[in-house]
Amino acid sequence: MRPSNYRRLAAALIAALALAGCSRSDAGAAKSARSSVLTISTAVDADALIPPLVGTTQGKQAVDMLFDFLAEAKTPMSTTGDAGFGPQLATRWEWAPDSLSIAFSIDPRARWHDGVPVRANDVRFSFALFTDPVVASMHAGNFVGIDSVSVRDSLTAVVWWHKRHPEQFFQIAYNLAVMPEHLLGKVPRDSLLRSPFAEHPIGSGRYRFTQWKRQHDLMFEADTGNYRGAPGASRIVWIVAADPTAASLSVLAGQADVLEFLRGDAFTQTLKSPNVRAVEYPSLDYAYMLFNYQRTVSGTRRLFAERAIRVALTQTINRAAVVANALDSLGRVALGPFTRATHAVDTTMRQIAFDSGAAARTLDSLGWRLEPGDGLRHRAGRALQFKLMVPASSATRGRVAVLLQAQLKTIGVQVDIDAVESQVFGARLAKGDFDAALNVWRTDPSPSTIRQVWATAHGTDVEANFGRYSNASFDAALDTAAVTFDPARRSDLYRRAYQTIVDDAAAVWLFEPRNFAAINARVKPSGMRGDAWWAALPSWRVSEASTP
Amino acid sequence: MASFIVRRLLHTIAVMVIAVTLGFSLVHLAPGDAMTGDVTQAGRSADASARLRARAGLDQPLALQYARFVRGALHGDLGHSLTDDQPVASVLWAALRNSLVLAGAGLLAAVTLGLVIGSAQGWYPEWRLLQLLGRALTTLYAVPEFVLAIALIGALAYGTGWFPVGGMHDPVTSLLGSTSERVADQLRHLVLPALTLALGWGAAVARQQRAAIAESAGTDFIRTARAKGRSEFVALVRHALPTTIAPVIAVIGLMLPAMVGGSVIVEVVYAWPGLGVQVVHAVAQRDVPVVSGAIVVIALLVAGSSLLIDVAIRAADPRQRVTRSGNG
Amino acid sequence: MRRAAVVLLLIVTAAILAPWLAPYDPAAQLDIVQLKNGAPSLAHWLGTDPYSRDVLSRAVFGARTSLMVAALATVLATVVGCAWGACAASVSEGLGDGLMSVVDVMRSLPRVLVFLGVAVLLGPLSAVTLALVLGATAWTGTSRLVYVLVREITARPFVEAARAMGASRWRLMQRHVMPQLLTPVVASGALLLADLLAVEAGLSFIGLGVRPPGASWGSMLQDGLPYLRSAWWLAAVPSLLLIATVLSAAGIADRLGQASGRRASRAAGSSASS
Repeated sequence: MRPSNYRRLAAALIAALALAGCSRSDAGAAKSARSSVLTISTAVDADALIPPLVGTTQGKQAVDMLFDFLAEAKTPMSTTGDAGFGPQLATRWEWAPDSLSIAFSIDPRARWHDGVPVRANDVRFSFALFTDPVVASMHAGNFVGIDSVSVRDSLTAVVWWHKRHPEQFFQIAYNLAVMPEHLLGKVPRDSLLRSPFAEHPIGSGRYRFTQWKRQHDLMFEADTGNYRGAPGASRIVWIVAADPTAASLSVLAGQADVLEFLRGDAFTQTLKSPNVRAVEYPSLDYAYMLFNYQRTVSGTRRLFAERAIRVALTQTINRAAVVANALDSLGRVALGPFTRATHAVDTTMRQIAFDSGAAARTLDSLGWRLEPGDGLRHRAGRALQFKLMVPASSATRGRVAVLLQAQLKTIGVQVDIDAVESQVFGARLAKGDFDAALNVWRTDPSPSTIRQVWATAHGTDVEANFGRYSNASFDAALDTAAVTFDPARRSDLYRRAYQTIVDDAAAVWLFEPRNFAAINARVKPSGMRGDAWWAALPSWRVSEASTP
Repeated sequence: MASFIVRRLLHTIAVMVIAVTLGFSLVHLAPGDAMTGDVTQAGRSADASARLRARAGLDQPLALQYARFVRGALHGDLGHSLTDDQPVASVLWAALRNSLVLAGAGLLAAVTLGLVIGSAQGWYPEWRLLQLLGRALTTLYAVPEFVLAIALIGALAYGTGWFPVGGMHDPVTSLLGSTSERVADQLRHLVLPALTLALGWGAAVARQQRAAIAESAGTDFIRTARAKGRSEFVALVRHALPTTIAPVIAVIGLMLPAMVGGSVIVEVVYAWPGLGVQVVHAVAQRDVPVVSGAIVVIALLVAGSSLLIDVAIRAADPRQRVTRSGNG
Repeated sequence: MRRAAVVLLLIVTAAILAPWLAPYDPAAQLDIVQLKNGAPSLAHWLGTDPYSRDVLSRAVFGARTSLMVAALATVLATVVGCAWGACAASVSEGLGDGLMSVVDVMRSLPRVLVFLGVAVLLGPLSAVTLALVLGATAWTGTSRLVYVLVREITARPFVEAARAMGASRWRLMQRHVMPQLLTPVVASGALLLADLLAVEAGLSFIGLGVRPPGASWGSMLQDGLPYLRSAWWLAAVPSLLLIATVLSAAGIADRLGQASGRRASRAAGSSASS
């Protein structure tokens, strides 16, 4: 090495040292710029920022900041009538005497982020956009039964129904995000995602769009002149981490403020941390082992359509132990296709108990006999075995699958775990290409939407009834409940439906997670709802005091 | 020299042909639904699948497809990823930059470590401390990279909390931090993975360097320099070191193929968003075009750099001596 | 050398006797609530894993998988390598050069690329397939070693003399070449074993290796990684076993290599890590 090279090296070293020196001096400045910013750490980016096209919960969080609804759901939420709602974009509303229409009066102070006032025609337009088959919104089903939206005057929109039902108000107020007609009206409906609006959405919410670098970050800033008042944090930033572990580490290290939910080790760490709190909010998710009723399994046509088999499998699984192992205190045994936060749920309802002796007797009586050779049950020369599909991305479900495999093995049932990528998992569920699967379903605040998953499917449209479960008395109870106005009777009907499907062992109800968000101590959260923990995010207070 | 270069070029071309053929046969042997994405993509329409098939040219004769593949590869067109429909080249390029940062840092640290320890060992063969250090390095060389990585994470990330467990940067700092905070944050993330690579590779460099220095310490030239009363250090740096540079570079050239495997695993353990993580992820998703593209790109890089190294060494030092001693 | 041989022998014996040595069924979930990530204790010397399976039992059964794959691959690579090298050394110089340049080209290609290619086509592999793939990519070092040695030995005066006296090629090989090859080939085989053990563990670790739930050291390590902080023994046990095995195999190779002169290690050395 010649002397000149040494000199160059020395210069580089000095530069590096100087850089390290600066980092001390301006660190304080960076902290204060950061302090009124609320950062949310996530492992998944938003998918779209136009409400009808949003499919992920991250996308939903974002559009709920940008766009307003006609009315705001209160906590706790009620889905019947309008008692569970307060004003948002509409200052007040009036029911028609026959209850077939509701007239909403738009807040005259409401402005889009570009300054144009919000008008009744925007409501009509938004309804049209959600329900247009060309847009093919996956939320279009939420508006079934609504005939149309008309404009009475520039500040009054009227929503019309074909038939009255108890959740009319909920249906429109909870689902219709209002979008600006003057910006989206001229965009071809089949190419909304390619429009400039998709890259820079404009709403009327308390936050306005700033920037979106996909797979990296999504940033909103406070709409300081908003008609509903300026929000708490000056900015909200969703930061996309490489994976769930990285996302939780970022919050534990005090870098990010909020993590949607904690799992495993990160929960214990949070409990120990002085700067980060674990804040519980209700859960609307339940996990279950889903059977494919159509499938030929172990040489038997529609094996899982036989209730005795499903009951025997349920009895074999020690659900309490499985939940304790896989989730510690972060989960509870699921009661059925609903959660403890669901309206009208009776937590003392009758369950199929863990009883492997009874399961063995049932299987014996069905002709599935243990063979000493492989320790499996056989009938007509075929071993009792099935494939259990799990998404490879879910550590919890992967864990549960291995636990179930061992427990079913004890009574001679062979389970082969089929871990697939999450996209493949979704596609195969939809196609019915599985024997059994570990699925998680996020329920809706409205009890009526249980239909989508468990009511008898007609024709090819199975909605979310991937295993094609069918039970006539369950269907009948639901159908009656949906049009029953008397609250006590309605609750009673739902309870009866729940007990029917649980007794029928439609699936093995495994767990409902307990949701704990990790939130930095400088953030004061409020109004965390089970269906949308972020619903009151604009009202969260962020103190200037930064964490060490 | 000319004939050497020709032979060396032929060799490189052969390597490339094998790599390209491997890449091509992957795409060709992959099950049909993998290429049309029926399984991979839930929401993809039949129309989009047909477009993908056409774009992959699956209906043409094999030789033509191969020619298309080679031509595409030459133009930097490696097809499209099945999972997010991005061009493979851009997916790989983003990851490659990160990989090069890590590999570069690892290599720099390895060469520094190897040269210092190896030279000291060769120059002062009787020092016991150096012998022990050398043995320790050799032992580390035998320990698989990922075991070393896990041990370092356990000790220096979880144990002391000095370094992050993985990743390339803290996302919040990288978005909201000042420039110097960002640089410091990236360096902190770089330390453990680079150290993991450096310990393994450094051992090989040290072994080569020790032998070379020991040999040159025995030559008349150096003995004269030492006898003339030059200080030990000057004799080492001025006279002994320069002659050993070329062999060290040659050793690195020989290690290149092995270094790729090590980097892939180290990237995975530290969740470093490089080519290794990208390609292992693609394997899990059965994203054949990305894997095939990565094979071509990595092979090209390795073959190209080892060609450059060989030619450079040959040009610099006609004797082209690479001393390789035993494992001791 | 002796210490290394003892360690290796112990581990191999444990692997062979796994069904008798393991205190528990390696797949049995003993008590998923009480014994989850149990620390080492009298009942479970090396603790239990997240599924309450006995780590010691999994470690000895895992040794079976890991050693079997590595050993099978080593044998395969050694046989192919010897055959290729000997062929190249026995045919005409031009053809021999050609055969050896195939070897050179193969060695310039990172073999991880082949593993990735196989994995993306076939998905998780069975132990035998994995051994075949490993073996098929690992024989080049041996072939170069054998080629160099055979060329050198056949050029020695006494071999030349024997050939002049009319000894057949096969007889020459049997009488003069093979005995000389034995030690260096075994040495390179031991080195290869060390190397392939590490590679197998690495592949299982990143999920390209043996299909679960069959325990191998690499997959045990992968399972243990999330609990590095709370249940260190899950990662420590397979790590230490792997290191012990790799080091003792490499140590044996080293001694054998020194015993047979520098030739062996010179030709095999650079393949150790590729």
